[in-house]
Amino acid sequence: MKKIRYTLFFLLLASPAWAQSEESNQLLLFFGRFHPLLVHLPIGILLLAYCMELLSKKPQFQSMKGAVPFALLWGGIFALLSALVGFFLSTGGGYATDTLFWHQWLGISVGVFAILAYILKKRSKTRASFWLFTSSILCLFVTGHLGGNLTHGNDYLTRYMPTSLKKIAGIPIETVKREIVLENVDEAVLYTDVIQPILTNKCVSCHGSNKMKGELRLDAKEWILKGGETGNVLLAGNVEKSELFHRITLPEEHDDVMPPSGKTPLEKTEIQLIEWWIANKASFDQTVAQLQAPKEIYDILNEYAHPSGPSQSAVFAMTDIQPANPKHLSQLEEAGFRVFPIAQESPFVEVTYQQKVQPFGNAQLKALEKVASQVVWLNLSGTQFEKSLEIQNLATLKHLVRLRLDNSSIRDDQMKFVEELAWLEYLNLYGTSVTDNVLSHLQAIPTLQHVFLWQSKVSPQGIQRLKSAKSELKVDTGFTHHTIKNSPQKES
Amino acid sequence: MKIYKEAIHKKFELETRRHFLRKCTSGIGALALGSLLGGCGKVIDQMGQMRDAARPMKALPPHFAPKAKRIIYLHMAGSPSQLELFDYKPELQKLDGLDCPPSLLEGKRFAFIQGVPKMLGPQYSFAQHGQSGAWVSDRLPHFSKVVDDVAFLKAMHTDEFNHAPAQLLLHTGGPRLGRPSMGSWVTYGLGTENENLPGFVVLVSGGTTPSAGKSVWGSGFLPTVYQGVQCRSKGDPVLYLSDPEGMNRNLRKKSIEAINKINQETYEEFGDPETLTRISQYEMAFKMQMSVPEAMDISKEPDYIHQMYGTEPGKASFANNCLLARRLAERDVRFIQLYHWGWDSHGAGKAEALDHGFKDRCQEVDQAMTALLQDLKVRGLLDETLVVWGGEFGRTPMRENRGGQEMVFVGRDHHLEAFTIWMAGGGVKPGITYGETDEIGYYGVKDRAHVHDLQATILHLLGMDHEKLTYQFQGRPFRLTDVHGHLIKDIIS
Amino acid sequence: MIAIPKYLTRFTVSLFTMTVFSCEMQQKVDFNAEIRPIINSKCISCHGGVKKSGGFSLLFRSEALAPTESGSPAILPGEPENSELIKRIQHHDPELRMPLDASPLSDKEIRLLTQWIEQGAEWEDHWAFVSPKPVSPPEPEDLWVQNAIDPFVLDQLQDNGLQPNPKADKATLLRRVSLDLTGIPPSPEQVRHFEEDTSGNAYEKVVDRLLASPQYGERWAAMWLDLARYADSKGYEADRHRDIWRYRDWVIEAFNQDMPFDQFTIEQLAGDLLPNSTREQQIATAFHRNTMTNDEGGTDDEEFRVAAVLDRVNTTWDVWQGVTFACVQCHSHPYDPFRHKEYYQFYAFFNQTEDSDKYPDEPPFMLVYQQEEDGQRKQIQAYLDSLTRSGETTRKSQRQIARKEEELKQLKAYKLPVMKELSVENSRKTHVFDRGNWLTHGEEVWANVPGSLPSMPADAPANRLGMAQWLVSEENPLTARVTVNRFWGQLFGKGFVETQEDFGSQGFKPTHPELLDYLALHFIHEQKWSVKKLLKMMVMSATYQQSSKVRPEVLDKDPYNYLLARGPRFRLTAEQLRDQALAVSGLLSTKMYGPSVMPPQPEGIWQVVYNGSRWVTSQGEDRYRRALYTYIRRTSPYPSMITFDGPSREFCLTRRINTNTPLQALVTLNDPVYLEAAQALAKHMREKGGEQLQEKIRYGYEKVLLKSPSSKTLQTLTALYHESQQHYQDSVMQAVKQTDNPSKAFEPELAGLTVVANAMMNLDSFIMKE
Repeated sequence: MKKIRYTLFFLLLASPAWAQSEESNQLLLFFGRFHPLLVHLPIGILLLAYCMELLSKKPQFQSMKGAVPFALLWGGIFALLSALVGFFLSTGGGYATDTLFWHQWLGISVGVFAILAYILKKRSKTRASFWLFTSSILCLFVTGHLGGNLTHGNDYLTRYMPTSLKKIAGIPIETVKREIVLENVDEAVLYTDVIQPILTNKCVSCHGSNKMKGELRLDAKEWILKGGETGNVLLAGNVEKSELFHRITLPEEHDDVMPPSGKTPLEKTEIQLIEWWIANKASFDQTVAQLQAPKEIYDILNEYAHPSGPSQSAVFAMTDIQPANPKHLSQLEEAGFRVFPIAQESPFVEVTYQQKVQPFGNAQLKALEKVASQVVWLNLSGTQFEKSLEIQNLATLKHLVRLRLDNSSIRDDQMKFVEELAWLEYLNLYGTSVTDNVLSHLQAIPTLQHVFLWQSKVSPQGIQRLKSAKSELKVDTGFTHHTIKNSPQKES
Repeated sequence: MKIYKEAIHKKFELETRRHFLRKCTSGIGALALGSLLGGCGKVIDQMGQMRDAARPMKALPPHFAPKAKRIIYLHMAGSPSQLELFDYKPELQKLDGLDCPPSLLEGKRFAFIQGVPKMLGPQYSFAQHGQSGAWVSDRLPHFSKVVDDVAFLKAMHTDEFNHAPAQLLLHTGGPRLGRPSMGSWVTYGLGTENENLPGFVVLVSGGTTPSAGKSVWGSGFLPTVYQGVQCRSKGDPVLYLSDPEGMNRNLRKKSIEAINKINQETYEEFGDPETLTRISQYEMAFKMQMSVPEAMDISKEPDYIHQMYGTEPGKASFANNCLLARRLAERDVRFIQLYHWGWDSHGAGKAEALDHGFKDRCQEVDQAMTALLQDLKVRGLLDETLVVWGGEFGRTPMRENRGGQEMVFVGRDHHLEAFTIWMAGGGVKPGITYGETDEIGYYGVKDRAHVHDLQATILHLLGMDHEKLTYQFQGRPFRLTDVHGHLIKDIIS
Repeated sequence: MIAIPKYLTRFTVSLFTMTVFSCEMQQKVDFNAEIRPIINSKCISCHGGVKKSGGFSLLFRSEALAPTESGSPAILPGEPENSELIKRIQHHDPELRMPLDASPLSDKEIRLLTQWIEQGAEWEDHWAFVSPKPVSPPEPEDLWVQNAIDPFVLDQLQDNGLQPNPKADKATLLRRVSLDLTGIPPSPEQVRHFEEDTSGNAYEKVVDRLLASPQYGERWAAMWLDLARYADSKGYEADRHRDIWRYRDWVIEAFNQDMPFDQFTIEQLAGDLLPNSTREQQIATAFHRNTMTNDEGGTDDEEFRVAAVLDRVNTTWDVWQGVTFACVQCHSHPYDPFRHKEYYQFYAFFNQTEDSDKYPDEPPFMLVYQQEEDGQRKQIQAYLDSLTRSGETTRKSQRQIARKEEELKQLKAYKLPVMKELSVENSRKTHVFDRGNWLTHGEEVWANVPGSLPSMPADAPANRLGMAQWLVSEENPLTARVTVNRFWGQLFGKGFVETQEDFGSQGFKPTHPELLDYLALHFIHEQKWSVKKLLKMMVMSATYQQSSKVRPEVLDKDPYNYLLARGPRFRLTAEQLRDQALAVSGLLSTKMYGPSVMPPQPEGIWQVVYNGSRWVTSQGEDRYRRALYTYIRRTSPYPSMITFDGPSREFCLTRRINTNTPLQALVTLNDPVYLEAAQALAKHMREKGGEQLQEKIRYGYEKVLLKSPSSKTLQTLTALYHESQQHYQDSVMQAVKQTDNPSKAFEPELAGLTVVANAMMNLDSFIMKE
C-alpha cells in the first residue's frame, strides 16, 4: 500500500521531467487508460456517503453517521487517483483544451474538498465539513458531465433532445452539407472525390450511421457493397439492374423515388455522374483520367473544378453584414435617393439617385457613406456632380457590385476611386466624357466583368488595349451600324 | 408632400406588427389583403410582406437577389411558325407534299386540320449565325445578327390548341378566365420602383387585342390595382390622363391642392386613414399626368434611333412599342408587355398566309426587336432586363387543309406539342439553344419545357420563388404556376 | 466562460415548464375552436381531401380513425400515448416528426391534441354546416338600443370596453341610407324636409319611401348582377353580343316587388320546371344562361357546354351556400366535408338542360320585347285569339288576321337564352370527371346533394327544381346565413363573415355569430324571406345609424371596425359613383329597363379579334342612364367601372375588393362623363346659385355633399374659382388675339365654376359613403 502511494506520488512530481522520452509516453498512456475505470469509484462512494450524511440526520438512520468519514476519505483518495491517471491520459492529446482544463481542475477539487471535509469532520467542525462535502459533490456532477463531453463529444447529452427543446435551450439544430470541389479533374478519384460526396449530401442523412432506412448505408464503400434489406443496390457495370440508380431516376411523383418527396432531389448532372460511375464497373479507386470521361461528363466534372462563377456576386454570401440603420435609410431618401432592399432578410440595398431632386453634392455623399457596407447596387445614371465633390469617397462603398454612372458628369480625374472597389462587376460609363485615361483604373479592378463605353470619349485603340489587357472583360462600345441597313425586300 | 409624409407616419403608428399580431389572436384572423387595400394601415400579408395601403405599388423585396429587375415580354399573338423562323428541319423538306403518317394524327385534336393533311417543308431558307451557330431563317436578317445574345427554347409545349385558352394558360397559368396575369402577379409580389408610372404597362399593336382580350393582363382575383395598364399610342396614353381642354398644368395643380386641402379637413373630422390614402393617390395621379406622357413621347428620340427601330411617331406600330418598351425600362417600369397580333398563319386568306401576311409580320418585328436588344445592351440595361419573345403555341409540320381540301395559300394549323421562344438578358445564358424537336419538328425530344416552367423561370429571374408567391383565394393559396412548374436551370447564367 | 452550464440551466427550466403544462387542469377541448385550426393549418394539406399521405386523412372522423397504410389507426380515442399521431408530432427524429420539413407543433398544440384524443377524439361539424340555433337577443338595458340587432352589437362592444358612436347627423344619415337603399343620393330638398320633420318616426318614413321607390330595385339588381355574372356578350375570343337584358329587368322587378328570396331563388334556378310556369318565371332562368359561350373555330362544343355547367354548379354554391365548392371539381375538398363524387352528383342537377354552346344564337331561347312593344304584342295576340276563338272566318277577318300578324312581325323581338330541360329520352348520363378532366370519366352518378348537409326535402323531385327547393328549405344551414351576411356586407362594408365567398373552415369566423344566426332565422320565419323587411330592420338599427367618425381610441382598438363601434364609412361602388355624379348635376335619367346603353367611352377600347361590333355612343337621355344599364362586354368592360373595381362578369363575383388608386383619381377628374356632370352642375350654380360667388359655391357644395361647407372649405373653393376664372380669362384674351372666333374659347365664369364643381365631385366625402 505505502509503496504504491510513493510511486504514484513520485510519478506525479516527476512526470513533466521525463514526459519527453518515447516509452515514458507509452507508459503514461497505459496508466491513463485506467481513468474511465477508476472514475466511477469516487462517484459511487462519494454519492453514497453524501446520502448517508443527509439521512443520518434522521434518528432512525443515526447508525450511518459513523460510516461517512471513512467513505469521505476513500472517495477523496480515489478522486485524486483518477484525476492523476486522467492527467496521464490527457498527455495523449486530442481533447478540447477548454473543456479539459475545467474537467481536470474540477476533478482535482472533488478530491481535495472531500479530503478537507474528512479532516474537518475529524476535528468535528460538522457545519464547515458539510459545506465542503456539498461543494465536492457539485464539482463531481459538472466534472462528470464534462468528462462525458470529452469522450462522446459536446452534443452527447443533447443530440437526441427534441428539437422544440433545443430551440428553447438555444442549441443549434445543425445540418452538414459538403460542397464538392475538385483541384484537378484528371487526378480526382471518381468515387472518393465525387460520388461519395454526392451520396453524403443527398442520401446519408437517411442511409448512414444515424439512420439506416431499409437497412442501407451509403456512407462508405463497404456499406454500399453490402446493400440493404432488398439485397444489392449496386450491380457494377449494369445501370438498369442497379437499384441505386433505378430509384433516383423514377418520376418524382412515384412512391419509391429517391430522395423521397420533400428532400432535395439529385441534380440532373449528379444522376449522370452516378450513372457513368456504375456503368464503369463502379470503380472505387480509379481516377477520372483512368476512366477516360466522355466530353459531357468531363464538362460536368470541370464545373466542380472551375465553377463558372457564382450566378450572383459572392458579396451576397457575406453573413457578417448588419442591416442598415433605418434612420440612415430615411436620411438617404431625404437626400434624394430611392432605396430598395435587394431581397427579403438581406442587409444589402440598391440605391438610385434622382437627379431632379438636387445636384449630387457632399451631403449626398455623406448620406451614402452611412450605409457604405450595405450598398451593392448604385445607380447614379444622369447625375450631375458638384464641382467641390470629394467623389473619391465613393470608394468607401466597399461592397459595390454594380455601378451606373452613365450620362453623368463624371470626369477622368474623378474615376480613380473605382480601383478600390474590390467587388465591382458592372460599370456603366456610356454617354460620359471619360477618355482613354480611365482605362488604367478599369484594368485595376480585378472583379470587373462588364463595362459600357458607348458614346464616351474612349478611343477604339484604347478599347483594343483594354480588351487585350483584360481578355475576360466584356466591353460594350455601341452599335455596329450594319443593323440599320438591308432589310428584306417586301414582295407584292 | 408634407401631408403625404404624415399619411405614412400616421399609418405606421396605427399598424405596428405587434398590433397586427394582437388582432390575429383576437379571433378575427389575419387580414385579407383585400380589406387592407380597401383602405388603411400597414399589414403583414400572407407572404410575410409588410404592405402599405397608401402605396399598393410600393416596391417590395424579392425572395432572393434577382437577376432581372424588370421584364419586357414580346408576345406574338396568333403564334408564329417556329418552322419558318428558328426550328430548321431539312427532313421535313424531304417529306414536303407527302401524306401525313396516321401515327401523328391519332388521338390528336386540331383546330382546322381534317382528314389526312400533307406535310409541309420549311418555306424559307435557313442559315447558321453568330458564334453560337444558331439557325435562323432569311425572314429575320436583322435578328440573325444578335443571336449570340439570346437563348432559344426549342421544345416548348402547352396544353391548349386555341388562341384564347392558350394565351390565358401562358399569361395567367390557367386556360380559363378569372386568374391574375403574370404581370399582375409580379407587381403584386414586387411592386414597382417608379410609382409615377404604372408598374405593369401593356402595349398593343397589329390593330387588335389578343384573342383572350384584356383578361391576359387582367388581375383576376387579385385587387384591380395590379391589372395591366394599357398605354395607347392614339389618344390618351393612359385613359383619362390628360386634363380637359383649356385646363393647364398649373390649374390642375391648384385644383388637386384644393381637393387635398379639403380632404385633409375631412380627415381631421372623421379620422379615417383611407382619406389620407386618397390624398396620396391624388398626388400620385398628378405626378403620373406628368411622367406618363413624357415617357410615352418618342418624338424627341434622335434620328439614328428612329432609323434603327424603324419607328414613325404617332402610329400604333410594333416598332414604336419596342422603342417605348426601352424608354419604360429606363424608367424602371416593372413589367412591360407587348402584344403584336397577326401571326395566325392558317393560310385561309392572304393576310394570314405563310407566303404573304407572315412575311409582313416578320418585317414588322425583325428590325424593331433587334434594335430593342441592341439598344438595351449598349445602355447597360440588358443585364438587368429580361426580354422574352414568343407565341402561345406552335404550328403544325403539316399543311392546313381546312374543310379537308388543299387551300390556295400556304398555312399551318395550331400545334401544342412544340414551339420555339427566345429569351435574352436578365440572367439568361446568352448564345445557347435549349431543347430539341424530332426531325420533323412535331414533338419535343430533348429538354422539353412547359409554359408553366417558363413562368417559374421568369419569376425566378425576377427574384421570386414561384411556389412562395401565393394569394389566398376561395380558401386556398393560389399561384401563377398553379401546382406545376419547374425551374429551367440550364438557361440561367 | 464555457457554454455548458448555461444551457444546462435552460434545459432544466424548459423541462420544468413542460411538467407544469402537463399538470395543468384538464377541461373539455373545443374541436372547432382549438383542434380544427391546428389540423387545417398544420396537417390537412397532406392528410386531407387532396393528399392522403400514409393513407391517413383528417377530413372525416371515420377516415381519421380508420387503419392507415401501416395497418393500424393513427388515432386511438382515449389513448393518446398509443396514438401514432401523438408519437409522430413529438418524434425526436426530424425525418419522422410531423409536420414534415416544417417547424414542429408548439407544446400547447401538442397538449391540446393529446387532451382531445384522451377525451375521445370527437369531431364537431364546422359551425356553418350546423343549422342556426334559435337565440334571443341579450336584454336591452340601454337607451341606445333601437331594435333586436343592437343588443348583440352592444354586448360585444362592452366586452371590449367600447361605447357606440352617437347618431349621425340627419343629412349624413339620409345620404347614407338613400345611397344604400336606392343607390342615389337624396336631393337637398329631401334633406331639408327630413331635417324639418321632427316626428318620432321621421326616419322610418324615409326608409319606407326609399324601399318603395323604383330605384330600390335598380340598386339591388346592380349587386345581384355581379353574382349572376350578367353581361351583354358571350365571352371567350370573339365575345359576340348576347340579348339577355330582359333578365336584368326581371331582377329589377323582382326586387321592387319584394319577391320573397326563396321564390326568387327557385324561379331563377328552375322557373322553367315549375308547374305551368309563366313567361316571367322562364325569363328568370336566364340567370344560368349568363355562362360564357365559345364561338371560336374548331372548338368542341361539348367541352364548353361542360365548362358552362361546371360554372353553374360553382356559381350556385358561391351565391347560395358560400362554400368554395369549385375545389371539389378535381378532388375531395381540402378542408371542408365534401367528396369529389358529391360534386358530380350535384353537377347532375344541371347536366340535363338543352343548351350546348351553340352558335350563332344560343338555343333554347324565348322571344322577348321591349316594354311598350310587349304591350302591343299582348293586345294583338289577344285580338287574334278572340278572332280565332269566335271561329268566324270571313274574308274580312282573314285580311284582318293577316294584317295583325304582319304588325306582330314588325315588333322587334330579342332572343333571350333560357333554361329548358331535355326530354327524358335524351337525358344525359353524368360521370365523375377523374381529376376534374372532362374527358376521363369515372363512375356514373345521379343527382343528389352532399351528405354533410341536410338531405333533400321528401317531396322534392330529383331535378333542378328539387335542388332549388332544397337550397331554400328551412333545414339548409347556409342559404339564409349567406344571404343575410351578404346584405349586411352591402350596408356595413363587411359581412359578419368577412370572407363572404367562404363560410367553410378556411374562411373567417363570424364577428357576431349569434347576431348572424338570429337574423338568418328571423329572415326565414318572421320576415318570410322578405328582403325589404330584412334591409329595413338593418337600417333601422342604432348600429347602422351611428356616426362614422373614428375616435382615436376606437381606431387603436378596432381599426377595421369589426366591432361596429362606429357607422360604416367606405368607398361607393362604381355604379353608385357614376349615378351620384349624374344625380347631383341633374343629368341622371330615370328611364328604366330595356337593352343596354353605351354612354361615352374613349376611342379604340373595343378591339376584339374576329368581331366587327363597334361602340356606338347612345344619344339623348340614354347617355345618362343609371350605370347598371351600361353595356358590359366581357373582354373589354366599361373602363371607369373596371377602374372602380367593377368585375368583368366572366365569373360569379361574391365580393368586390375595394382599391384606392391614382387611376381612380384620373377618372373622376377627367372622364368626360364626370366633366359633363361638373359642367351641368356649374350651370345650376350660375343660374340658381344666387348673386354672390360664395352663394353660388355654397349652393353647389350643398347640392353635391348635402351639408354646408366650413368657412375654410368655402375659402379654398373660392380661391380655386379665382385661380381658374383668371386662367380662362387670360386664355380668352389669347384666343381673341390669335384666332378671329373667340366663340371657341370658354366663358371664364362657367369654366371657373366647372373647375370648382369638378373639385367638389372629387372630394373624399363625395366618393365615400359616410
